[in-house]
Amino acid sequence: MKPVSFLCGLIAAAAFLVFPAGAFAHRVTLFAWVEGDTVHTESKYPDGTRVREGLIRVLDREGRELLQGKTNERGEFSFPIPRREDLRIVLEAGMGHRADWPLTREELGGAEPPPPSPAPAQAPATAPAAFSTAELEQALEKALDRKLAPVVKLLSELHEPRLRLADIVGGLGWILGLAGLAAWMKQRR
Amino acid sequence: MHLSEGVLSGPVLVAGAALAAAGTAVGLKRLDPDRIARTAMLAGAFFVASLVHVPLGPASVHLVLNGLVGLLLGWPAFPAIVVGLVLQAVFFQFGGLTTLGVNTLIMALPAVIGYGLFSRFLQAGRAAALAAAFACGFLAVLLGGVLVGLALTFTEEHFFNVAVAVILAHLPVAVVEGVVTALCVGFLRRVQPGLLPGRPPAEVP
Repeated sequence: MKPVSFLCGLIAAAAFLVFPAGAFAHRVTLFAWVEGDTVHTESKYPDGTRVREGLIRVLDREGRELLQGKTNERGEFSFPIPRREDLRIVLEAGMGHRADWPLTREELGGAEPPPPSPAPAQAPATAPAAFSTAELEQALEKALDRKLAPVVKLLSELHEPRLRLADIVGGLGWILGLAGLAAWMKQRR
Repeated sequence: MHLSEGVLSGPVLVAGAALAAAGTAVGLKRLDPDRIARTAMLAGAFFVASLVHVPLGPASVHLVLNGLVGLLLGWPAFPAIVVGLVLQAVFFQFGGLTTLGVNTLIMALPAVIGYGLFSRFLQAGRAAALAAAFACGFLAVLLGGVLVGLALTFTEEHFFNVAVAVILAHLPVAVVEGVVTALCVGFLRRVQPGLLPGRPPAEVP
């Protein structure tokens, strides 16, 4: 049957079209990491396109909103840690696209009291550092954050699952199987 | 067009699931055993179509093909689209399993409406058939957009803004869908007119 081969061709063409530039406004991914006193977030579509003007909301454990903001040109939005407890970051990219990312207390360094020296931009009163070990710890943390930034970036890129041909073929196989099942059940009647 | 999980409120999800289940039941009941292969083929086309992106305007959008599925299937478009959506949710994380019912309704209901409005023209003259196919593909996406707006209204509350945004966003896809549907129908008319509704299946040589 010719239409069958036509549709198969269409499907195959579709499958190959995907790979060079598979961009679709379908699902968004959100990735967040902590650097010092700041939480950075990055929002993308599955093909790597950045989410512009996406609404980022930061919620506490009870779902109360602590702050919100919009992603910039490159899909990024950063904010100072509002509270050192379990947080949930939610991205709303409009028209039903949504993703979230949990940040645990440990990631935010919630075990310790609020740090004495926040980012210079919005530095409130700097508490006098009591122990040199605390200072050392902080310095270490800062250095580690800086060193680990590329690794975190890489992780964020790995985090998003990519489309795979195996999945597409598998899905078509499922449909074939279901059709067989349906035909069999109708036949038995 | 695929609504993600966690966007809609519970009642909307439940209502969507109930309506989608009813539509699917009707579709399965009306599924002629001879048409199972065709239904599966279109389910496969639907499943893959959403991977084809169309870079139009600032956002990139994807084909839906619900108009074509509806036009060629009628009510069995419901089961075909449910299957396609389940597989998209499982394999690609498009949409989600909790929003399955709502998403099915968003795409399958316009498909069936398109079938009811336009299938009778497919055996008419070539120009009328192509125009009907275009209109069906166009309208199916646009109506889907309206349903998305409606579903979001119950959660976001400013229906007008949401609906206008959604419809504007879907306008380019709707045009592309109309063209693709018309191309497919034009091709089928030449090669296998028996596949189109309104005529008994052509005898296979």
